[in-house]
Amino acid sequence: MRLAIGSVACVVLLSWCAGASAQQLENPRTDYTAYTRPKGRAQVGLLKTDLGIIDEVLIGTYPLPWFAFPVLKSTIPNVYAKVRSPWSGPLTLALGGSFLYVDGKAIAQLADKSASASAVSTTAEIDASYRFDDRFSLSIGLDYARLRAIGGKNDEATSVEGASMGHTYSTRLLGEWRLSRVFALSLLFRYLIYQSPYSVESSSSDSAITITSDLSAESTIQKHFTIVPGVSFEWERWELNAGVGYGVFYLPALGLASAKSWPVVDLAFGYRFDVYH
Amino acid sequence: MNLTLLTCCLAALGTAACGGAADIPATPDLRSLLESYERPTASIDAARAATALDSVPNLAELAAGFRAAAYVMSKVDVASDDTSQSTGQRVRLQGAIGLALRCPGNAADPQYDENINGSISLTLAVADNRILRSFGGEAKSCILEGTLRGRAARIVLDGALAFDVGRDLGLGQRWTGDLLASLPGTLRVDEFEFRSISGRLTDGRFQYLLTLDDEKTIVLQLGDDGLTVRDNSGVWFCAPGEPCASR
Repeated sequence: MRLAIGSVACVVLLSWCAGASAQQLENPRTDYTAYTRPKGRAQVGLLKTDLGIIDEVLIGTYPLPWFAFPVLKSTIPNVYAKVRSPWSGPLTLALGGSFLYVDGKAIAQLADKSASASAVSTTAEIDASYRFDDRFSLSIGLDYARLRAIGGKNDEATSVEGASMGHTYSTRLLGEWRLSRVFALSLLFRYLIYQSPYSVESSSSDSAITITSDLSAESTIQKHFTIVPGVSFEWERWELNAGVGYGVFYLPALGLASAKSWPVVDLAFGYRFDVYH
Repeated sequence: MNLTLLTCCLAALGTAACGGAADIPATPDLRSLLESYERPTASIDAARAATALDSVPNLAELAAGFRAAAYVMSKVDVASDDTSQSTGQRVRLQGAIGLALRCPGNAADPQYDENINGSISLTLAVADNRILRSFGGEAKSCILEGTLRGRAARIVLDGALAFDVGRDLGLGQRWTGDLLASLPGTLRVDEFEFRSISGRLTDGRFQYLLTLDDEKTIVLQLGDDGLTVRDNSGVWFCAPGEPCASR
């Protein structure tokens, strides 16, 4: 019975998708690929918002951190950009990067109230996407993320929020199989190549002693693989990419990897419109 | 591509990829000194044991100085506690911890001002979440208060310092037990000054390594149970006013 209901639902879904009038070739997926949005086209979502400045250049931001004020008593400004190759053809190459700043108030809120530090996260990526035909495309990418936090504390306790720095290299492969103009299946595979030990520089002092630490910390159980099967919908105005998988979890915007494997949810949802032509 | 350029690029990539782990500082190597304390080389008789004791007239002062110098271990404990907050399960820490101690002077009325009572700087090496057993540093006219024959004594440390605590200390773990100290500089206890000496605290007893005229060594030990001399074959007990007797 369950199988029958599932089959019917699937057929209905695919039929509906096939009948929809989205223009997926004009609106390729931009996450984990080398593709950008066409000139003047914007996508607004809670998790990501971006705009195609020109056909080859995309800029965007992660809106949620901007609205972190009620929780962190501070906002977290961030921006990302991607530049793709200008030529047409099945192969597209792109370079991207992002910048995120967390000031001391937010870190104090996340850690203990007496901490003072600020953090800067930068990421860079190289992408290559190949479209085999209208249905199938494959993207490969190399990601680099760097976090640097600088601060100090005057009380007795020290901890990693004093100051830290680390970097992460990872690679990924995304296959997208478009079953209709609207609906596609995707499979994201990520491999954490290397996550550096995080340097932990701190200083604490009382009347009798000043302690300065120049230490590095690394996980002894670092995992490396992530696999996330998913679906994507490209309607005329709306787009949704959703996947649920398992493995190393990468902190959004920061690009830092968890040491352990976790259930991983990959979600992007937004409304698309043209700002200019 | 030019081979040299390719090599440089690969080296730079390797440095970037593998960098990040903090350097573990070199630690003083006190193994041979410790071995000397564990296994003195001289073989002596009762008369020579007594002569050896007479050649070190200020052993009580020396013991008071070293016991006062063990003050640094209370600060190593503070650093250990402090750093343990930076670690957690399944995290490996390594690197260096620097300690700048302001010496207290009078214990009853400490003044932690290095211009008045001097200072000690120490560098601890951390590997695999443990503070390595030996560490070194330097004292600058560090004034401490010791206890000598039941009264307060002024202890002044100056110059290089090296310590070995017998085993690596887990972060957050307190020091207990042995402390071997090598003081290439000076140690002053009231009016007595000692230069380039070593000493060891173990189980509450103070040990002093004495090199005899023939370059062989014995260990003098001062504890609550009196004074003993240890050579390579056994221990001599030397009660005040009596000849030393083999135990």
